[in-house]
Amino acid sequence: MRPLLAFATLALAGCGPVRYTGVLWDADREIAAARAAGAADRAPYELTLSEEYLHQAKVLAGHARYDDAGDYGHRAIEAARVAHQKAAGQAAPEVK
Amino acid sequence: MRGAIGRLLLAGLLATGCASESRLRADVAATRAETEKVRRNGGERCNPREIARAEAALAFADRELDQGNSGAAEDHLDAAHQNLHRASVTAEQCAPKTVTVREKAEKPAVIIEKADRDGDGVPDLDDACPDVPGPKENQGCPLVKDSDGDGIPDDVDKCPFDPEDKDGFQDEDGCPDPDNDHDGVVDAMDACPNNPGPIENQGCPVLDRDGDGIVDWLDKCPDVPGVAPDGCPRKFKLIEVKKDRIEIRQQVHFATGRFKVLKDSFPLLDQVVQALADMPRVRVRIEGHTDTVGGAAANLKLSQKRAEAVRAYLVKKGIDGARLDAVGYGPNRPLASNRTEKGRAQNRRTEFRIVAEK
Repeated sequence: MRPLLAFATLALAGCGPVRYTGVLWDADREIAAARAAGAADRAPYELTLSEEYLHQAKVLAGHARYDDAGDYGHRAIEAARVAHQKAAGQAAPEVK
Repeated sequence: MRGAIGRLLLAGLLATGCASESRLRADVAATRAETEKVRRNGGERCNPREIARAEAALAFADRELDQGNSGAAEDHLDAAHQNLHRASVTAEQCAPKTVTVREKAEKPAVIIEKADRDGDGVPDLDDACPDVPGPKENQGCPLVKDSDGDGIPDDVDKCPFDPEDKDGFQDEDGCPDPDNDHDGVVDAMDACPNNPGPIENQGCPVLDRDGDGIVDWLDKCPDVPGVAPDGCPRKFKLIEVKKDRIEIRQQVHFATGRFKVLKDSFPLLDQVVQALADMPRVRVRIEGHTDTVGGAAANLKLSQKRAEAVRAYLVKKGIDGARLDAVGYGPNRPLASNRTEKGRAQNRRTEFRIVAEK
């Protein structure tokens, strides 16, 4: 039982990098999509916010702060989606 | 006894840290309020990018303060200030113009007055002492004596026997000020008479713009951190320290498609370590870049891993990890065209950007 518990603990601890990596790729994709929809001209505030969050997420990941990196990655995704919606002329919520 | 001193020291350190943190928190709150104000006054319309960067930087500063990283919080706060400044400067220029139609003012009638510089009621033309007040009965000259002849009557002159030096600094008290800034360098010899500084610097304040500990007047490279004796960066064979980056003269080599730094790059990275040790206040961002061969996501991941591998090497060699950021940009920031082999080779690179000085 004990070896199994130790293995599970180690496996979960190692999941931090995996989780944040997936979020950052998603954020990259969402930003690319927002850009393609013309967000640089039509939603520059939201797009810049998203890029700043993603950049900080990468910096924190480099310092092994995976939870913070993941959090900023999610914020980047949210802001990029709003930028995309605005660029496409749809009603969009405010980014916080 | 030792334990008590230790506890006292610890309490002092904690108190200092708390004061610094609460000051930073107050500064973040004030900057946020200012950002909101600029935003409301058309900042978001005129400068959306700067406003977004300022807001993001403030959020990062908050997070770093929560983590107890005052240094990083201060860096973010600086970034917020810079962006807010840029936003507010250009917001003023792009704000909607309002035109106020003013009623035409009537021209005042021309009044010719007799000049009376000392305001004693005796016109200068009839005043024997036009710059010193005095009664009409005495031809406009003071009744009280002016022993030192500095134009300030003895009854108001704090130094009636020492003439005022009239150099624009406390000239009303009647006392001479031979050393306005009290720096021990007399004004006649002081290149900065109102700002204290040592005699070695002609009485001017000592500045150290690049923060390398070598004052500007002794520093041959005052804008680039360097080492004694001349304050210029040490000369290296494989790298060169510039104002905004550490330029490497050969590329960092990695195993193909992997992120392990190859041994032949160790001498190069050792010189980067030495340069960073010479500039202890400098913070660097290690950037990984790739060409466009292969998938974008894979390249992004590889460049991040490679930047992190370089960072790990520098940390292993003794550089404080808090001074190093590792960011992979994949193929997003090319230097040359990806259509030619030469261009692709230029795009596969590692860069060391100097991002801030503490």
